[in-house]
Amino acid sequence: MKAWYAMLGIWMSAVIYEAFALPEIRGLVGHPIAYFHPPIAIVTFIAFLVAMIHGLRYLRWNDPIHDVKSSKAAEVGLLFCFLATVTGAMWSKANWGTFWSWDPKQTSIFVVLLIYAAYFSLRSSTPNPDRRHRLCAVYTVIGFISAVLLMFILPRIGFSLHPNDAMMGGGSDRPVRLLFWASVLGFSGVFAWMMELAVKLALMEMKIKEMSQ
Amino acid sequence: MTKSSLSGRKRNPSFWRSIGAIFGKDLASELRTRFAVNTLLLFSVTSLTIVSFSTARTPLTKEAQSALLWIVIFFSAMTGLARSFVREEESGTADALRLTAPAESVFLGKFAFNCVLLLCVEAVVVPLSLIFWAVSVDAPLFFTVVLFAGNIGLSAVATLMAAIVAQTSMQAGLFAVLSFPVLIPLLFTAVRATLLSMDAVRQVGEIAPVIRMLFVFDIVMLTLGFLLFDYIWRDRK
Amino acid sequence: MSTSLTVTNLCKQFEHRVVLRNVSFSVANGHALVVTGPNGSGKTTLMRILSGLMLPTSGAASLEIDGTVVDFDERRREVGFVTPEVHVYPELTPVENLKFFHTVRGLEWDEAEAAHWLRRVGLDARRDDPVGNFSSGMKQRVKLICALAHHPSLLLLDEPGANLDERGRESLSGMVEIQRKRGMTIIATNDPKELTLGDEIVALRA
Ligand SMILES: Nc1ncnc2c1ncn2[C@@H]1O[C@H](COP(=O)(O)OP(=O)(O)OP(=O)(O)O)[C@@H](O)[C@H]1O
Ligand SMILES: [Mg+2]
Repeated sequence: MKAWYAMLGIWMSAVIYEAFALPEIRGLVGHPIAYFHPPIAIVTFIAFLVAMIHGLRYLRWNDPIHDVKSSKAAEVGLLFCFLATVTGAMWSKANWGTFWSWDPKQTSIFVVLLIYAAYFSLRSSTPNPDRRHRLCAVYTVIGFISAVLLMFILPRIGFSLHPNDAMMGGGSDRPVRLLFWASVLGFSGVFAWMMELAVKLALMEMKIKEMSQ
Repeated sequence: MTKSSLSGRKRNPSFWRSIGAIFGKDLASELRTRFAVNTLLLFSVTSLTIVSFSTARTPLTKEAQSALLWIVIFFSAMTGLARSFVREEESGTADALRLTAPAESVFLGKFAFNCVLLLCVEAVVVPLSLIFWAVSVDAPLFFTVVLFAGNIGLSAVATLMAAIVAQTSMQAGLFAVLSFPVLIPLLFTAVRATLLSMDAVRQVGEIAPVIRMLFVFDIVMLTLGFLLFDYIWRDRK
Repeated sequence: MSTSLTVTNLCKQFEHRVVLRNVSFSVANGHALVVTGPNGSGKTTLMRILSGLMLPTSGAASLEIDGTVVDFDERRREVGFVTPEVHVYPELTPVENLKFFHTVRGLEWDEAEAAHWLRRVGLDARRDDPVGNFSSGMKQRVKLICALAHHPSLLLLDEPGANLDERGRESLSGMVEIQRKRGMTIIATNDPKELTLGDEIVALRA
């Protein structure tokens, strides 16, 4: 396990170093942030996908462990989502001159932020634990599907599209693409690590509560 | 428990009758108390008046008009559509319903009732706003279809969220908080479609895809509701 | 038709409070069972589990009709449940309530039978009043007939005598007698007068 953490640390340091070291790409301003914002946004969606999958597993098996995992994935996901919103605004400023430009991706990230903020207010206002687990699991499913629908719908109803897909596809050079996906992988690792810590902590808290009763 | 009600049972006539019974029961209660419809109509007319009054001097753009129309409809929905479930839990009849009715019928019956309530709101808000804002709708047929499709999606999500908030401790505030982000895809699309239907130069080719998106949302949310409602409705422990 | 209810090692725990521990009993067709126990001993909890509203932490309660176990979806037709926390619709009249519960259960509606039930509990004069305006004993009568009118195989009565007067109690014991002819009855009560309604008594400890 320790070796994994060490590797994750080295990996992320390398990604960060390279992001600043690589020369700027033509037509893509706001240079180093371009290697952080889209990967963080992608990991945000992965986090909420994980939250939904654990939510569905809770509904199937009724085991509180799935609720712990689902809620912790959403918690860490919310942090990533917040970072994605902030880095997105910075990038938008560098690229298009305004912090906020309501392009489909920026809008989706913002709506996802709202969905999961609502998720946590639902959690805190349902005192009965079984009910809380059940209702929250259902909400992760509805919330995720709605976010996916939004991403599907927005470009189709005439929201203006900014060309920021350049890096994922074939349009850019090999090192740029490589670094991009290395960054996605690195941030996914960071997410998995944070989620694991959060789940461990929550399980310990549960045990302490059980013992003190 | 393991045999979930999602399994493909045959839908016999009694299934449709039970939906009808739940819808009819809610309608009868509503006609006697007039609670939800009064709140809905008062709220929608009040907010519409405030908006129209405060913008009387500045002509609204069509973008603003269609956005405001949906904002008024959305918030009116949020004041009244949770009522039928909240009342069910408050008066201790929810368990009676759980014991006697299939979960899917409860969802569809309440959904139908919420659709009708929202239709009442639209029947008042839409003509009034057209008059107040001197809007000209160039494609009235499309406009009606948009209202109809928006109504279905809004009611479907509101019914699900109402069933959720009825089981929590802070019903009124939470309802809008939970529903709004989930409804954003619908609201954005509906505003866009309304705008297109107000504009004379638009072609069918431009409006049709947007309306299709509305129906995609409706179908997805109704399916999701149908599949998930049992989990919202019944305790598993 | 033979029906039976078998409860084996039923346990129920709320968070860390154990309410029911290894409750086992069985009831056969035509029998009535009385469940007693001090306040908070878990009578209502047991009844909720038997009705299907709540799941046990462990153990099982299985209702069998002609050798096949009744699942939750069929229970709605086979079980009738009266308990202090579950109410009928206050905006509707007794007849409308009866009709509503009948229809959502998927059963055919019979006007004449409704009239018969209303007469049995002495409410035919108030048949067109909303239940919300009734006295608590009258509401209890409506709850009773809504749980009975579909001829359940298993009738669960939690404190059925609550708020009932002498005549109400008489018609209650009449109903239990009728129920003996078509299925099982379980009565949860602490009222000494109701203890005699059953053939057997199960006592829960606090
Ligand atoms: N939903 C719940 N959550 C937590 N505890 C509960 C819940 N329902 C019941 N209990 C607890 O279970 C215990 C038994 O309650 P129950 O209502 O079954 O008692 P009872 O035998 O019906 O009492 P009474 O004679 O007063 O009606 C009580 O201690 C109660 O606090
Ligand atoms: Mg009790």
